[in-house]
Amino acid sequence: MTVRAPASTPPLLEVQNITKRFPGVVANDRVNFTVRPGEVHALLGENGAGKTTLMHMLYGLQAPDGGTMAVGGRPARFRSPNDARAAGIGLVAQHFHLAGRHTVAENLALASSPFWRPTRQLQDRVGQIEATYGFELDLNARVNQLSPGQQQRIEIVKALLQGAQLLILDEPTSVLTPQEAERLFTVIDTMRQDGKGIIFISHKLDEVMRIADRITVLRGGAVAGTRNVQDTTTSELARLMVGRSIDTGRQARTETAGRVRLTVQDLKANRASGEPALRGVTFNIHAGEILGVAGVAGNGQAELTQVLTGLTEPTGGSVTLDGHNASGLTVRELFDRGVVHIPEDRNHMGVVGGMRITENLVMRRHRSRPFNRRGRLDWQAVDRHADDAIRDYQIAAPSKHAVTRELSGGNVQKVILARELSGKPGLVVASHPSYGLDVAATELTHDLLRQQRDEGASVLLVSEDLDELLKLADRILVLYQGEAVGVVDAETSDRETLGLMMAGRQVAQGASA
Amino acid sequence: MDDQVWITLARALAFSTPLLWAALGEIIVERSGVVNLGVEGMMILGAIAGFAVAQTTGDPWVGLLAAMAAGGAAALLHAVFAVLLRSDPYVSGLALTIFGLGLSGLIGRAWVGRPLQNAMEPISLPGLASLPVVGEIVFGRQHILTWGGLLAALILWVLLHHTRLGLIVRTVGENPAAADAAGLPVLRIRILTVVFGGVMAGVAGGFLSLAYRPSWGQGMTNGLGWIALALAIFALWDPLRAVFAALLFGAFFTLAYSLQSQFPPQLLTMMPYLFTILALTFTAVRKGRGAFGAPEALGRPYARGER
Repeated sequence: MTVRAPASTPPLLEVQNITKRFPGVVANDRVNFTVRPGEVHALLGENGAGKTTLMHMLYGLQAPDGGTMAVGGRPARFRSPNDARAAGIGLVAQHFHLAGRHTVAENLALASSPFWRPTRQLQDRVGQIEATYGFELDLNARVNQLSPGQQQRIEIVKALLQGAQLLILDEPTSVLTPQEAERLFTVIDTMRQDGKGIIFISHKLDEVMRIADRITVLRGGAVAGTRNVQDTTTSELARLMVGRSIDTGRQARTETAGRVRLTVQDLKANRASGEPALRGVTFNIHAGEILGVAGVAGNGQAELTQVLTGLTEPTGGSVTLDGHNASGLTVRELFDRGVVHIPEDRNHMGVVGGMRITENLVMRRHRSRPFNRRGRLDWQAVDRHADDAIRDYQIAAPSKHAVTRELSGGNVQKVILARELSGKPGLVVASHPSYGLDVAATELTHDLLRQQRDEGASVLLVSEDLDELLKLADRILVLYQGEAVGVVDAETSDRETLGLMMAGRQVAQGASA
Repeated sequence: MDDQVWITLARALAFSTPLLWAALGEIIVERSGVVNLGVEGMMILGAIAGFAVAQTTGDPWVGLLAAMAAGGAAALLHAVFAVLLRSDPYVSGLALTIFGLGLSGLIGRAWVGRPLQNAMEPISLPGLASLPVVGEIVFGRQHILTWGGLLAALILWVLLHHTRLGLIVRTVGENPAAADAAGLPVLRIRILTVVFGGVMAGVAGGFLSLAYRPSWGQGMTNGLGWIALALAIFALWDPLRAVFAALLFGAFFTLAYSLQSQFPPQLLTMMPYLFTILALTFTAVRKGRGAFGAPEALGRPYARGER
């Protein structure tokens, strides 16, 4: 009698050399990975590493440009999610696909049901799943009255009802409380024992170590490595995730930082949806200093910049600017006190696309001299200002009267930089300032921020690009789930340390304000 | 005096018939997440198409088929713009109303003021018409389409709430992404509901020119399409509630006419709009709670991947 080697059963899913290109970027570059029956395979990577693109191809939402997929040993080509579902692949998306005002039963019946009274046979079918996985669903409850954890369970049951053998969970814990996440892990364990395959997409190191059997790390669209969970450590995963530091071309500040300009004490703020986004963040920035803010997107960075620029009212804590209380001030009041903003979404928040370059350059300054003369705009002064800015900031424009929308991304950013930095600001709040820019425009942006620092301004630099932070910042604040994990000295820090902190790990490193 | 109540009810029934047909159509359209402000235009196109064909063929029922086809074709235009090309549904619907009013006026120039030769005749409901007092007044002389509208409301209610078809239409209107994720053709479903709404508006228009006032007059819908739109909201997008809402609105207009010597008619004709504002306030206050309120994706064209 021979024991059959586990390797001889075909994998549930085998992906070979799969490639997806978008204009100007390779989102997935010859990615290989397999999922075996009874295996939880985690896909780990930072935002933009290519996890979502890969998921979309596995679920038939996007077609690959190259490479092959095989399900259960048979080649598969999905033209739509229907094809993927027919092949036994289910997806629990990060944002649930549920009709909020419908009952649980109605949502479950959507995929397939009899014509008359479509929900009538559900109780039996759902009952079996509930018994297997040890949870209960109230079929008559309305979805919008349920917690995110319960809604996620509906999505899981939906996929199982459709006969999914391989379940893709996209950042499944991002909407869950720790307790709900534990319960999800129990369900995943049961599915594993059931012989199902699970693709667990995440950027959280700890939970990946907790639940996965194997881990494939994506970086820049390519596989950085695949590891068995027992053969790896969080620090190795962090290193694979963020990559090795290349020479960052760091330029240290010329002088030591001056007095404290901005003090943020126990700052709290909510998202637009009302959930807490900042849960008590404390830090300060000196004059002549760049403070980098690192973190995976959605950990409170956006709300921090909004509070500091007056776009969002804090719900607690204090902001002190140059020794005066500055929390709750309006955008205009903060601007008058020297706070300028280089926003994340430059085309919508940074400029008015349909207006001329000359006009965009004086926006925010149109109320004061020399542009405003007794309530009337002095167009000659406006034009002169535009000529200066176009020269000083190397804005490539057909004419200063051109409509701003017609400029390239880099030149739009230069218009914003010219406007915001031209009035000797005290605090520059810059959000992803080089995102999507070419090398030259990135260099110019970096030079300008450094120049501001050297002239004594304080700069808060939010970025997801660790190289950018290590290159520019003096100190780096790491945010995780709305809290400051710590502040490190950029000079002595590296990507690995930052990667661990971005995953919520406290790292002992001496650096203080 | 008792008779007066029943007479009012009978007249309200007749008056509410076009409102009900058009509103039922719009309810289905809006349940699938599309707004069509072109009801007035589709109705008047139905009215002129029905009249023209009935006058030519001599058969009002052939005319009704033409009215349905005209309404459906006009709605298809809206579906192409608002669903397929994802242009602003409000602009497209308004354009359809203006277009319909203009085109019907052009086509109907030769017939203005002409009575229809073979009009639909009212019928007497066997059995019910012989009830004492009520019978003859309420059930004795109504049009088939009046009773048909009530039946249509019942059928649509059952379809919407107790069949898979209704579940699909409602899901497309609540969260099209959920329907899409379940493999349902969101755009095709929306196009079909919009065309269905046009056919129903066509019936409403045909009722006017073939049965209620068997003649053609320019702009003879006289704003009924707009009231039907308000009615869909006031009924909170439910076919059975639409029956009662239509009767109520019909009663206001009937009373405004019969009481005009004692009571300013404007006050009563204002009521449907006032009620609609109240219904809108009600749904806005209860937003996101319970089963009432506008379909969540109402008025938002769907494209995969957008949130």
